[in-house]
Amino acid sequence: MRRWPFSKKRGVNAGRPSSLSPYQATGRWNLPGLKGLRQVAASRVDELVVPTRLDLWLAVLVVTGALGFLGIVVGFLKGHENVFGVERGVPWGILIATYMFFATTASGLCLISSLGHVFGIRTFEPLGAKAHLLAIVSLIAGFTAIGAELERPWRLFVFAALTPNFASPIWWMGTLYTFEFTFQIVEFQFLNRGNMARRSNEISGPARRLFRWLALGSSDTSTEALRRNMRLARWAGIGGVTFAILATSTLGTVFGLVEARPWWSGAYMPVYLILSALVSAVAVLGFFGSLSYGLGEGEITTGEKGLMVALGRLLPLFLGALVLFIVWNAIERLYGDMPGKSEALMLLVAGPLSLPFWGLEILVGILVPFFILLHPRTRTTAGVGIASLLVLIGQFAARYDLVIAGQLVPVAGSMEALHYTPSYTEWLIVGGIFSLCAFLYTFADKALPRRDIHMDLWE
Amino acid sequence: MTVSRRKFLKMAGMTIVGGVAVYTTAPRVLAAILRAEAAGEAVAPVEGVEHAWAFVVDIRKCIGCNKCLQACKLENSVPPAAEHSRTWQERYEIGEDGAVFVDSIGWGETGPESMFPPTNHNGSEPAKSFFVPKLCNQCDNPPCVMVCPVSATFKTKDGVVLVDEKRCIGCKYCIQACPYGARFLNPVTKVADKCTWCYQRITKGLPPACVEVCPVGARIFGDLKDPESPVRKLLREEMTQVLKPALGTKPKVYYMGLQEGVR
Repeated sequence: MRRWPFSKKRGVNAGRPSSLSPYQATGRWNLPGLKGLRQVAASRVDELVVPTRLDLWLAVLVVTGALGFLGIVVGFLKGHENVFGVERGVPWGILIATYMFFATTASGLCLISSLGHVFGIRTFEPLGAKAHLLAIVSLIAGFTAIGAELERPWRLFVFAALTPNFASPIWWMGTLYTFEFTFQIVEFQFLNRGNMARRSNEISGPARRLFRWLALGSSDTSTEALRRNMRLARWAGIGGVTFAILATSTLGTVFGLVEARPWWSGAYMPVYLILSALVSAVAVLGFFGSLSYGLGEGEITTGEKGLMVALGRLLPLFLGALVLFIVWNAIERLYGDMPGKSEALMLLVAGPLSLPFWGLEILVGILVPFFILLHPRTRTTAGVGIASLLVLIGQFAARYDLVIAGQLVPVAGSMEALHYTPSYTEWLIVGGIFSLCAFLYTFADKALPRRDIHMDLWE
Repeated sequence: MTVSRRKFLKMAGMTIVGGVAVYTTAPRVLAAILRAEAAGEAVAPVEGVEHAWAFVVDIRKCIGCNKCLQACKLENSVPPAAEHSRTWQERYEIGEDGAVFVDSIGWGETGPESMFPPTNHNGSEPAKSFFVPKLCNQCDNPPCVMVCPVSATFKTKDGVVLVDEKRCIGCKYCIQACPYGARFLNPVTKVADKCTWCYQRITKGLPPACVEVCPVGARIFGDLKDPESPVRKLLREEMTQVLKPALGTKPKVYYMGLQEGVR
C-alpha cells in the first residue's frame, strides 16, 4: 500500500519540478550505474553503451580497491616485516596513521553532524543521515586499516572478550570504538528510516524489498512516525557523541601513556586528537557539501547555503586552534632540550619528516586553506570544498607525522634517527582503503536523498 | 519493638565478627585486584615465592665477542636475522668532545655471525669505548604487560615476563611500550617475542644460555633468595645501576660500570 499523507500535506517536492522524484534530483550523476554495466554485457558490439562517468569512477574504485585487498593478502602471506616498511625500531607504519585518520574523522563527523538533530543548532540540521553515513564509512575504513596492520587480527575478537586487560589503552580504545560504531549505526538507521520507507513506497521490484528492509520493515512516513524515529535517533545520538569523545580521547592515550616514547607521552595527545577530529570532520563535510551542493543538480537551498557558510567559518576557527596547539606543544618539547622530546621535534622541523610536516601538515593543511577561507571572495562553496580537501591532506600528513616522529628516535641500539618509508604494498592498502570509502559512499549517495524526509518537519 | 537481650548480643557479636572480617580482608582483596589490574597478574613479593631472580651485567668485562647472541639464538630458536635478537650488545664510543657514537650487531645491518667492524669515531680515536650488553630487564613494573590489550603478555609469580604465543594478536603495542627496545615481532610466529632469561633453563636450576657461554663472566645470574648466590653478594657489595630508572619500571638487570649517556 502506498501512502503519501506526508508529501501531500507538506509537499516534499515543493520547489522542484514535479516530474523529478527527490532521488533523481539528488543524483550527482543521473546515470545508470550497474544497470549500465548489465546493458554493456547484454548488448552487441555495435550497440555498446558508452561507459558513463559513474561507470568509470566505479571501475577505478574497484581496481584500486582490489589492489588494496591484494596488498592485505600479500601482507599476511609474506609477512608484514617483508613487504611493509616497518622494522623492529619502527613497528607502526602508515597503516596506523591511516587508522588514526579515519577513526578521529569518524568521531568528529559524529560530533559535528549531531549538532543539528541532537543539540538543536538549526544551522547544522541539513547534515542528516548522509553525514552520519560518512562517519560509519570512515569507521569501517579505520577498522580495515588496523585489521590489515595487526598480525593476528582474528584473535582480537576472542581474547579481547575472554582475557581483557583493563589497564590497556588499546583494549579501552577498541571497546569504546565498538560502542561508538554501534550507536552510530542505530542513530543512522532511525535518521534514515523515513527516507527508506518513502523510497520503498515509490518503487517496485526486488529493490523495493531491499529499501523496506533498510526502513526496518516500515512503510510509514507519517509525521508521527518521523517524530518517533527522530526521538530514537536523538537518544542514539547522545550515546554516539559520548562514545565518540571517549573513544577518540582514549585513542590519544594509546600514545599518551607510552612513557618509552617521549614525543607521544603526556596528556596533550587525547585533547589534541579531539581537536583534530573536529578539524578533519568539518573538512570532510565541507568537501562533500561543496560536491553535492555545488556540482549536484538543483538550486542550493537557504538551509544548505547557511550550512556551508557555517562550515567555512568553523574550519578557520578550528585551524587557528590547531596552530595554537602545535606551537605550544613544540615549545614544550623544545624547552630545556629534553632527550627524546626535542630530538623528535627536530626530525619534523629540520629532518627526514620536514616535507610532510612543513609541506603538507602546515602549508597545505593549515596555511593555504586558512587564507582561502579568510577572504570573503574565496570563501565560496567551491572555495570551502578546495580548502577542505587541502585540510584533509594535511590532517592525513599530521597523523603520519605523529605516528612516525614518535618512533624514529631510537630507544636503544643507536643514537642516530631511524628511517621509515612506506612500502608499495602499504601504499596500495592505503589507496584501497580510500577506494573502499569512496565506493561505499558512492552507493549511499545514490540511495539516500540530498535532503532527509524529516527536514520538512522543521520548515 | 522489643529485642531480647540474647538476640541483641547475638546480633552485636555477629556484627563485630563480620566487621572485623571485612575490615581485614577487604583491603587485601582490593589491593590484589588493583595489583592484578596494574600488572595483568598479581605481583608476588619476594617472600612467599620460590625464586627472586636477578641479572647483573659487568660492562667493564664485556669484550663484545657476540657469543651471548649466538647462544641465545641456538637455545631459543630465535630467527637468524640480526634484527630479531633477544639479547644484543651495543658498542659505545665517546669522543674527546663528548660526542657519543653507538652501533650494535644485534640491531645493525650485519648478521649475527659477524663481529663488530673496526670503526673510526669521527675520524679520530675515541677517548672511551665500551660494550653494553642488553636484554630484557624483567621489570618489576613492566609497561609491556600493562599495555597488552588481551593479557597475552604476563609476569610469572617468580617475576619473569613471558608472552603467550597463542593469544598475542600482534598489535606491537608492547614493542612501543618497552623503553629498552627489548621486544620485537618474531617473523616466524608473527607474535611479540622477547628474552625470557631462558625460563626453560632457570626453572630447572640452570643459568641462562648467554650467562653460561660468556667467556669473561660479564653476565652473572642468580636467585636473590639463595644466600650463596653471586648476584646477591654483588648487589650487596658493589655499586650498580639500572637503565632509565626515572621511568619507574624497576628493572631487574643491574649494570656495573654503567657510563652516563647510555640509553
